[in-house]
Amino acid sequence: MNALRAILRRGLPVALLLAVPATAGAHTVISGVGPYISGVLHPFTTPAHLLLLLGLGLLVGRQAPLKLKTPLAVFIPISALALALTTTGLVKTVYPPILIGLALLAGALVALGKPLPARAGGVVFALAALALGLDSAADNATGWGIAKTLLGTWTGLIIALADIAYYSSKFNQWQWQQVGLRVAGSWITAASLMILAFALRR
Amino acid sequence: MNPPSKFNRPAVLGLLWLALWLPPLTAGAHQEKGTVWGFTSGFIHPLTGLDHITAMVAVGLWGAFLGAPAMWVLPVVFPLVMAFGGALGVLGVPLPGVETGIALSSLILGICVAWGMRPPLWVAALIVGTFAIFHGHAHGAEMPKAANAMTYAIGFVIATGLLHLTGIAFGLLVRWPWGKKLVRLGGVAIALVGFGFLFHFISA
Repeated sequence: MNALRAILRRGLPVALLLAVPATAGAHTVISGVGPYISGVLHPFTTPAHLLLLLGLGLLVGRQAPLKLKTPLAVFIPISALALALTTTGLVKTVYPPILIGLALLAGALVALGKPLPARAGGVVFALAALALGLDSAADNATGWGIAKTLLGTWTGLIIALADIAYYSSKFNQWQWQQVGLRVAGSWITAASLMILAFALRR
Repeated sequence: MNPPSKFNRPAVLGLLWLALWLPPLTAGAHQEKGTVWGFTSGFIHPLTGLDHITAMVAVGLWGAFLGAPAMWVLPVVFPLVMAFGGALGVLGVPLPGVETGIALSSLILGICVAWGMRPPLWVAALIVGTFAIFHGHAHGAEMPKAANAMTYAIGFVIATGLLHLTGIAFGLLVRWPWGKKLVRLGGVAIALVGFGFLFHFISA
């Protein structure tokens, strides 16, 4: 709990400083589905979010045995806090290179295949949770619609992270599967590096 | 030579199955697109040039030929360094002789496979990484045309990786004597394609 407090104390001001108005990740309600489902689908339909979640999921899943409890204990409350912060109007979206930079970091760690120290892992997951949450403001909803959309997004974020971690851990039994995970990590890193260069160029 | 004994039979069969399916996909995609649009365009981009295809497949082939750990180190190194080259291209940093470098990559990597060269892993990684910069720069320089840079980058990295897997799948045939000859023959074909491109650029 103390570790969580320390992460919040150090990570939150940094994330708020880095958050700037932009239009990249904030979502609109998807037509044909309600606000909750629209929120659930948001992490899966935003490429930057999905790339980061893939990186984080693989980072957890490649470590045997699967230890979901610690990363989720950091990710769940901080993402909830960040989503709640979007309702204040102070933060609309996150500067896109932050999300991509975090995806690059997660992908590189997967590609390197080195075990991640618990504290460093906690910081990565805390920053990612903050960035993903702050970048998921419910733009086109009002009243209860905002609450439902944000609740859906929170569910979607947790489902995405937990599922990717769980299934990648199942795909981690044989050596060729472990190699496959590292190759996937290198793909995430490579794609992120290119996107980052493009974003910085703009 | 060290056969990839740590790789189980289902994995080998699975990769061979992949190799059977991927070449027709790449063959059908050899057409020029006027404008680059998102994932599809990014995915198609590495598949539209024979020089890119042969070099990517050669990386996988050589990796499989060298066995573990080169089999996975080279396909991990290539996209990482390629992305660095791509970033240079996106940022407009000039790199001389990009097309020549790409043609040379097919020629040299094809020769490495055909000859069955077995340098130390770091040398192989250095060769592959050097050529990856040229390929990445070419992709990166064309990336600003994309409607969605993010999906374009994801698409072309995945396509590049699948071409490596195609090479690895084909390269796994080296565990059989006839397969070894076939893989080396593949290296000869790749080197010839590279030579053709190089000759074209020099004579142009």
